[in-house]
Amino acid sequence: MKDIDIIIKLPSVLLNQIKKDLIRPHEFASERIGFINSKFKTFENGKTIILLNDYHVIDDDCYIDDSSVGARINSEAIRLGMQSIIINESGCFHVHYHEFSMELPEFSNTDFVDNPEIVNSFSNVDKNQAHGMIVIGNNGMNAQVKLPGFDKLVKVDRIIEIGYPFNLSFISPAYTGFDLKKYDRQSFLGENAQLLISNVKIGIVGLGGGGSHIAQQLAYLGILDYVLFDSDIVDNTNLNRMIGAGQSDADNKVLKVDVAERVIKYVLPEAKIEKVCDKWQANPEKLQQCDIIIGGVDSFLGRNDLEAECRRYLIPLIDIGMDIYNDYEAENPSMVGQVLLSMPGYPCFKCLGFLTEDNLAKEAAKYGAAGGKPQVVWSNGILASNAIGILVDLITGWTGQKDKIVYNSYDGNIGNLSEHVRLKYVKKECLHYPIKECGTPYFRKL
Amino acid sequence: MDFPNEQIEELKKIYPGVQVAEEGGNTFFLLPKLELPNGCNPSKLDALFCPTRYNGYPSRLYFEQKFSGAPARNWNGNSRILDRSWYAISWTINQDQRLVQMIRSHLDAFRI
Repeated sequence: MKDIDIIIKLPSVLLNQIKKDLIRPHEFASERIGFINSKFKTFENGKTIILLNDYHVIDDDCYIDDSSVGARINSEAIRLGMQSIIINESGCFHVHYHEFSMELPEFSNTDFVDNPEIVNSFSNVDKNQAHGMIVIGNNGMNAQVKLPGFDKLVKVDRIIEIGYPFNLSFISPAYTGFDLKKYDRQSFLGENAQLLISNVKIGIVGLGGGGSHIAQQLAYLGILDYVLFDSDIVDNTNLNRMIGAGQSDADNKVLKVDVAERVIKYVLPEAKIEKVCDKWQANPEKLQQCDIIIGGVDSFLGRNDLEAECRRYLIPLIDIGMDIYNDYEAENPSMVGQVLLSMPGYPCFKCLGFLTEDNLAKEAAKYGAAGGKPQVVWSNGILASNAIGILVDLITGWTGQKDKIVYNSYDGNIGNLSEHVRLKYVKKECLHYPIKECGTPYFRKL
Repeated sequence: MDFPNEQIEELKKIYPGVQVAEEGGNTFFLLPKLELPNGCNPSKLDALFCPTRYNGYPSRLYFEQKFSGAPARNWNGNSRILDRSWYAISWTINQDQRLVQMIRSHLDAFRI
């Protein structure tokens, strides 16, 4: 598999805003231009992720009447982009829309003449940011970027529209070395489904009861690229539910990530697996490079931290969890669980009422209480399977559902998994994690 | 951010390098090289102050690392906030104070 070097992530909420602006007719210009702010991070392995997080509309008055090009803007407009670099401590991308482009849009010759000059102006304002140009088509995007230390624009390898579903634009060739026959029975997922499945990087945080089901199912699905996070070893109390673990693993204190790796490799020997035998916080850069995270963490605090990090790096997070409640007045214990999707730009765990300061406070008050939580194999399996279904739809879009908000509630006593009633009342936008705040945080001096 | 202006001014006066950022709907004040009570080692550390309810506490003061030289405390808060790892002890204070007083009350936990 080829390592992808430069990836752009663009949240669908921002893309919708951009398209809505760029599609508006202008008095004389045949197309419109806009500016998008960006944050970026280059990792030790050389991979660069660029996060697009804010959009600036160019006023009608800033267009110059020039019939030789689709759109030409004046210096006032360019100053707007340059100012946004300083105000937001970010990079800036020139963006325009090729409305009639059905495949991957290409830059025109004119684009290569005019736009690099604008990008150079941006770069002169702050050479330590990622600046560039993007062209948006009806079914994909193309981009070139000028990174710090480079004296010219370079091709971006991949652009991901972060939304439900994903929209992946492969500018560099995608990996196609998988055996299609092996996945014949899931070909209904779409013509390109296996290509998409084979080209995303999935992080699993927590490889106990829930996470072990996730790892196994992802392998059967054909996911090739993994990061596994868990600091724990297998012990006897895991053996009632942890897929792939046996008595010898508990006896030999085998790491849970090693068991998951063994399970994945058994199904898919060619899988590329990175293991973090620690809390994800000890190696956040590995997490930041994932396309989707599935969390099987067992605390509200853990979920809060994980969601904040995922939102910052525009990573959809699918969370699964279950609990057993022993209400003293009830005759039998209650088994409940949930599957949630935290999609950047859409309701977060707080918006959905799942994560509250009250449940965080209750958890903090119980800190240090002895004893493991009750857990069983079948409910973990149900919740994990539901999460995998969401992940597949997110990647392939096979159900045709768009902008879906996911909060599924599980009643283990009657075996029912359904949409949580709160979904009826939740607002579509998130107030806690504005897209503008993603990427390297911006601390304002008081 | 919605704090009385005079409290913000006082914060700036006592901690001149103070900066502010938001995450998850919470406001955090970054206090670069905050001076720790006598005996703490190191004597200065970056700190992150959240004056409102966060992660189960009414307010919290996080540090860039755990430190020694203070009374033994329960370092139970290891959180990723604003793209950085932070550490905090289990400690609650009277919330009915000005921002500067709240920071001092959090630091009282480390006075011998």
